[in-house]
Amino acid sequence: MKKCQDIENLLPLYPEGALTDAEKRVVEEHLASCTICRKELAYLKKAHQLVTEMPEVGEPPWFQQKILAQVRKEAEKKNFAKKWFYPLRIRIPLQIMTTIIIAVLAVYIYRSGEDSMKQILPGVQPPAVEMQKEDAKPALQKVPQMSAPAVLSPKAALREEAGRDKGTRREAAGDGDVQQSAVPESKTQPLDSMGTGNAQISAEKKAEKSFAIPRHSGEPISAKTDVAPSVQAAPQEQKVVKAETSDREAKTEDRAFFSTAKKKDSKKAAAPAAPQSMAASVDAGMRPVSVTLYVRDVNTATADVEKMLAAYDAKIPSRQMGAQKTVLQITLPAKHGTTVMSRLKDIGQVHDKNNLSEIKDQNIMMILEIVQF
Amino acid sequence: MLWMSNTTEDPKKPAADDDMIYVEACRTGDTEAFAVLVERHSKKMLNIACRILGDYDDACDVTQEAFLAAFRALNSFKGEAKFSTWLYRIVLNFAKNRLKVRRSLTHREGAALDNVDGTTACAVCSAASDDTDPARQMERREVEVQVQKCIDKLDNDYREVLVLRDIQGLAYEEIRDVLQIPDGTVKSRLSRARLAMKDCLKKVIGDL
Repeated sequence: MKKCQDIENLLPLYPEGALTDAEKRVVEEHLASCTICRKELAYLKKAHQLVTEMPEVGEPPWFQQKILAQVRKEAEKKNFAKKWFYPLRIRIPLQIMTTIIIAVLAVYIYRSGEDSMKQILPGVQPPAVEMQKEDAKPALQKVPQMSAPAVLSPKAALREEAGRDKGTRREAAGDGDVQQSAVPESKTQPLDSMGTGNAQISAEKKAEKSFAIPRHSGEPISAKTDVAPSVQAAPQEQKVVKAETSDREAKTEDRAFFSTAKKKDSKKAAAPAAPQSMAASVDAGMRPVSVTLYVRDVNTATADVEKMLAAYDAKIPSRQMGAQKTVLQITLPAKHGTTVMSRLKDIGQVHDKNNLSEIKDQNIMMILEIVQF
Repeated sequence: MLWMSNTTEDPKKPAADDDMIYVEACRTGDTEAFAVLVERHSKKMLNIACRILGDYDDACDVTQEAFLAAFRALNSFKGEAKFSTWLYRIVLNFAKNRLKVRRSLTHREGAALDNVDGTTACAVCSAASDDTDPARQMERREVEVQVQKCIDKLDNDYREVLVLRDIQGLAYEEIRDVLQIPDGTVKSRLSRARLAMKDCLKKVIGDL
């Protein structure tokens, strides 16, 4: 027979029939002979009754509604996150669209900033491709600073060139007159004609050569022939009878020049414009001197030149920086002219046709082109 | 036998399949389907929490937290057990965490938890008794308080088995699923819990 301790743990489970048959038999055998365990079983039943009779607690008012309100709030958060971030079918197109919008905006901002940049840096030349595209646009509308030399017709430029050769300083003052007289012509001219405007130097001469080729195809071309058309053109201009004929000629010349210029490399076409545009801002009383410096590294050479110029009280009112070419407009005391030239030769190979010692002015206006080999 | 009646299933209790329909609806974004689940299980969950914690307000908080947690984790419910079983496990875990926090606070502050009359708080919202005699009502209420005090004195392991089986009337299999313990452990814990309750009630009430 089992002891009371042996069935102690079985007794609480006995009334509900949770014991196996063997356990149940053991408990029943023990209970039949043990009054203490029978009493304990009675206590267990009573205690169990008290526990099971514990009343149910009721829900407070709006309990379920509170739970559901929280759940709905949670669902909204979940849906929001799901809506915007989880399904790839939405997220990927959204990301693509955002990228495109940002790219378009960036280009737009860059483009809109270009005009203001031109106003800040008047000498900056638009890309050659754009110049070709904007044939029909009058130069006066877009870049007023650049339009000053641009409005000059080739004929007027030649006349001015002739006047300069005479040694007078009238051309600078008369620049405006020339421009005014040339405006009606220039309105019908493409932007490419800018290259022939103003009293500019070697770049202009190159343009003049190409300009002169079709007209003087039979004539030998030399440095002095640059002046020849101007000599021819000047009397034509003065004679009122032949005014219209000369205009027509000029337009034909222009067209011939454009066709030739367009065939050239875009870099070459753009090159002469830089010093010319710069010269537009040159002081009216000063004659600019054009110097070309060939170097291996443009940026390094530019830095060296600027450093060197600073030592000789030179001023650089404007500069145009490019990958392979830099153009500096320099105002230099005439006494340092030769010294600066010799120092430039130390930096690179100098190409200069001018004799600085001949210049009697107090200051020298130099257009220095630093070009890569 | 009186306590044998607890083993039978409540006819009002919804079948597991019914719950799953609403669970699936919730998963597809139908929040209103969750209202049905709340309506079915909130009372039982509140009662489990209330008997485990011995405090009505805490029980209400814990039940709300449990439902919210269940809603958040609805996708992780795999349907291996009944949905109600899953919900009871969640509310039990929240209740046990609340007990731990309360004990650590009591230990830190040095205040006796005995001062907190949890059963009174639970009794406030107890269902109205059929007994119209105020004296008998008072006597009954006093017994309930003593029983709850005895439950509160039980170890957590014994308490949860006792509450689930003897108060909530869950089947052994269901208790096994809720607590995730073997059948034998359920039985042994229940046996010890009942013996402890008998001893406790003998002390506080006297001759049962």
